[in-house]
Amino acid sequence: MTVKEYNQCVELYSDRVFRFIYKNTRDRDDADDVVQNAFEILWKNHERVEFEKCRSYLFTVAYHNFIDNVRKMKRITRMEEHHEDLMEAPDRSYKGVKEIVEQALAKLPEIQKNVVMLRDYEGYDYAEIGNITGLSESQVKVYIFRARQTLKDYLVGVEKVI
Amino acid sequence: MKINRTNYEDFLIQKLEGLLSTEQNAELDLFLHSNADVKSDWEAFEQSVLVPDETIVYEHKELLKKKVGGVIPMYRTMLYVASIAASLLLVFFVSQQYLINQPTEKPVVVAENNSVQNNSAENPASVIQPSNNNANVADNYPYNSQSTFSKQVSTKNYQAINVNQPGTTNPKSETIAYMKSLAPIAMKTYPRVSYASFIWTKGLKTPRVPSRNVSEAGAWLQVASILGSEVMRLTGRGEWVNKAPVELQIKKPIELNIHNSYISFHKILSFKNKNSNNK
Repeated sequence: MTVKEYNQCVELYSDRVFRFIYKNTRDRDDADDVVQNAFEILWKNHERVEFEKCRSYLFTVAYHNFIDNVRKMKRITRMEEHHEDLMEAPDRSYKGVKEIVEQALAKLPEIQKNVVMLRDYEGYDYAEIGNITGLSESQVKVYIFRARQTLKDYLVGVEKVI
Repeated sequence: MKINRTNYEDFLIQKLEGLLSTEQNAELDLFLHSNADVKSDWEAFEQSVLVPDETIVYEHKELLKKKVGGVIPMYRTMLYVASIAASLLLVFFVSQQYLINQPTEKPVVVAENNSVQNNSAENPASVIQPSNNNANVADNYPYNSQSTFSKQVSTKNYQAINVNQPGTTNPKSETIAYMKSLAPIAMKTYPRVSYASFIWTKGLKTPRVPSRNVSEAGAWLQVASILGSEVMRLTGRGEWVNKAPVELQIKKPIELNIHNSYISFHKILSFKNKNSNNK
């Protein structure tokens, strides 16, 4: 990949990688770090990575970086999480379908959230998602099915409440 | 497998994922048509598909980008300059060490008085001139233990001229002391390029480019040809010296400033006796 192509990768995929990580971390700074790290690694290897493969390369690097961070962060409990009961009362105002889906997404298990985001946001097939996440195709399919079921159930449940 | 009220959700997800065949799609459509309550489930599945939020963007794109052509490869010229710098530093530090341990009584043999008398500031190349035009200073150098030349000369007959002070014929004692220390080191370090002398003047206030007499580029070529040649020879790049124009290789001495101290390097080939030049 040439320098020009690398810059093109930044233009094309930095937002998408950032979005993917930000949806996971819900922390802009953490997502910034992951994106920066992913592009740093891509740059180090830019002569060996083909331009056509830079998107999945970036997502793979970013995903693994994110997982490493999650493992580290598991040892740390965020103050907000520890005192959820003391936080503000849940917002019961009307939300659009998109917001409800986002809420539901946030409640999904980590792995289901990731595979379904890669599927919907990036349009990857099961094999590509498997390459990025290190799962088999059948595992990817199972997780996606479970995620879809949960999202739909959440949506239907909220609609009933409304 | 037949679609029924217990397994229809699995088929709805497969439809959403685009995994159903044409026949299965038709069968599912028929099922949905005949079960109105299930249709709302299908709508919920459709709505649950994630849509990227385009308002979330990475704000530091420009910092990630690299300048096209910003990575400068190490061309040969740069290698030469780096070699020269390394050589200079080596000579400088070794000479400092040598100076500490070296007695200062030995004569400085760099030029014959007869030829020096004809020197001028316009011709720094002749600042230090050996009596023998074509002699290799390395062969004749008095500090060389294999040479008997040192027995035939004395400080009375040889003199160095400080090119930083045109017209000066009596350099400071510190200059001579530096010459004493630097010259033999240079001879030992670079015997193949045959340095003749070093003139070092302390206390210059203004740092200088390689030479006031030679263009900067030419001077650097000179430095490369002299100091760098040994490094280049060792690295297999010595042929560059031979390709440089002869006049740049031999015409004038090299003068260099390091931390307000001044060094002049003379290649043996540049040591032409002015008298013989005039002939």
